[in-house]
Amino acid sequence: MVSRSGNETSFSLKALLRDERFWKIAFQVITLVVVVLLFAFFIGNLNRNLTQQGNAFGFGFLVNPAGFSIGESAITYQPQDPYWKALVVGLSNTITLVIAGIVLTTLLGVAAGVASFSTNWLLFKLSRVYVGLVRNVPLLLQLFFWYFAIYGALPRPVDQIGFLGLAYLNNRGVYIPWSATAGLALLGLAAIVLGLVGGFVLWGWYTKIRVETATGGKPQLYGLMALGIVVALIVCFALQWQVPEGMKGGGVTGGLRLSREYVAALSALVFYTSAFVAEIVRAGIQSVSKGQWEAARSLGLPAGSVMRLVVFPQAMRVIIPPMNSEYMNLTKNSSLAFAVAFPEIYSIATTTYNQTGRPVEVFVVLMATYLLMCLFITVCMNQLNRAVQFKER
Amino acid sequence: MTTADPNSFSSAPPEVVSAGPVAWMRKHLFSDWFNSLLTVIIVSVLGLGGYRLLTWAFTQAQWSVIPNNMGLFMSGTYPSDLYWRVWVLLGLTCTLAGLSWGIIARNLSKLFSPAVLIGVGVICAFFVAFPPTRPSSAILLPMVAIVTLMAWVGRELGRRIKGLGRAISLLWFISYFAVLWLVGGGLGFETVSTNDWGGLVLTLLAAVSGIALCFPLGLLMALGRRSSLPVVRWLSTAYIEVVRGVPLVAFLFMGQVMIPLFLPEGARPDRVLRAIIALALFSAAYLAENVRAGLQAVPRGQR
Repeated sequence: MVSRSGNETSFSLKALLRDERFWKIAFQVITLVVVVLLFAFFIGNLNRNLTQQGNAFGFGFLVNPAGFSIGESAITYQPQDPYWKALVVGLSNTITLVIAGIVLTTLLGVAAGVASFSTNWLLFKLSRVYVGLVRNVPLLLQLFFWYFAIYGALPRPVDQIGFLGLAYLNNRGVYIPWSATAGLALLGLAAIVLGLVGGFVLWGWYTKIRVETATGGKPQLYGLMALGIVVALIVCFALQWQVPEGMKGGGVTGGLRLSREYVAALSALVFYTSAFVAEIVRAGIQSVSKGQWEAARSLGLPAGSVMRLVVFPQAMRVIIPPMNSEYMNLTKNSSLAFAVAFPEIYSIATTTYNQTGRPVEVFVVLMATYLLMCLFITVCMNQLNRAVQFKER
Repeated sequence: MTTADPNSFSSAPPEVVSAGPVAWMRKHLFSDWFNSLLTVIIVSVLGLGGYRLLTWAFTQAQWSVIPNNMGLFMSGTYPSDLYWRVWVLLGLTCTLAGLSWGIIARNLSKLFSPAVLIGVGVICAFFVAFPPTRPSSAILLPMVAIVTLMAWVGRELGRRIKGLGRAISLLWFISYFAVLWLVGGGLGFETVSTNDWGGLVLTLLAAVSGIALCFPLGLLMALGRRSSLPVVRWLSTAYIEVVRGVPLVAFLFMGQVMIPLFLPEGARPDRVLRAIIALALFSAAYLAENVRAGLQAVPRGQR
């Protein structure tokens, strides 16, 4: 007893060194100190280098006039507007590219994925060759292919191609009918979305009534029809559609011009990402057990309904999480559109950096923008994921 | 679209035996009206596209630009009187590849099976017949010979000496630095500035370096993210998520500009090195997630 209390100090130090908790805390403290020192070193260098260049860190330059023009813009912009406005224009261009890209990628990717289960030999082979070819060629190369070989090979405005007088194609871009003003276009979009949501709810109500009582449900069906007619009427007549008109000497007036850069970037992104989505969809469908197919078949469902009603909803559980990362990939890959001179945010940011010589600030803005976009996609996809998971009671 | 279940071969009814191309087409291309329609549409679209591609390839395309610029494509603006170094590099790689092949396949009864011989023959015929590679076929054919010879040597050595597999890994590792010395010069060789590196050589060099460098960092991040120590976990997670949220082009471009800014004055890494650093830092975050997925796939009971 006495001897033990005698060398208590040395004993407790030994115990401390043997204690796992001490080492855990010590290791964390060391890691933190190393990281903080590393950061301090980098930031210190950065500050010194920046002050030497006469550019102290700060975002004040964003209010200076940009002075460069932007080829296309979803919002009004003039060269004398400030840098932040130029960056917002770039962001709006990125967002139009990404939203159209996500919608089209989902459609094409799911179609290509389902096509790999087709009994049609040609379609099956086509889907396999498409996936194999597109996944193994760099996106940048595909961008140039679409820009130069496909849209660049279209005829000049003088010999432009028209589709029934509704749309025109020439080597300056694609011209499609569009509503007269942006506000009306948004109204149309809102009508379609509301109609879809309402239709979904009504259809669910109708199915529930039919399942529970085996009769009735007529009012819901009529409501569904009325909703469809109203939405169709709004879309057809309330939006003041402007149809592009081909002029005699070439060129097009009216309608919406999708520039060659935009359609090339969109096509490349959609075809590239869809190949990955197709594989995800194929994996998801294959993950549904054979018994589910057989059970659905033995209920007498035709092949199309087996896929639509039984297999695909279960495959969704496997499909949604990797789709999240494909959508994020699409968003990040949209930065490659700068290579075909589409003024999205990355290209505007590069121009801003070249003019102001402020790489750090521009990179911070760029990083924050992409992070926010990716975060937004993740939040949406997580909501969707929650909706398709097993409902365990 | 008509769909079939993926395992139909086991659950389908006994097949009516009917042979011949017509029966095959009826079954696989024209089984019902929808499939027939699909077949017609696909054939006409592919036919039109193929026809236009072929007419372009044989009437408009100027294929001469490819053989004329082969050197540029393969090694960028590398000085042409030093091309022999690139050839030595290829010879070195071929030697090591042949040796590795032979050592890995040392227990096979027959190294040069008919399929391998046909493959080698096709490659040789390609080098002789394909116009862009024809001027270099005097060097490319010996390269094929080196690979096959070294495969034989590797097999014979591998059968006699044990543990040669580890030695060949070490040789590959050393060869990386030998290649850097060959391409870049120095130590008695005429130096070639990295501004003149390029083409396929630079692509492969950057890829190999990036892959090699991202592994240790990625592994560390994956372990960090699964660590029970909160500080380590937060730092790893923050790094992985931030890097995965930024496009590669932005990372590469800003890496070029910002790495010198973060370093003390005068320390300005070479631009190729900067690109490789940015590439490795970027890939490490993705690798970390793959490693983490692999670690998570191991059941808890194994620990």
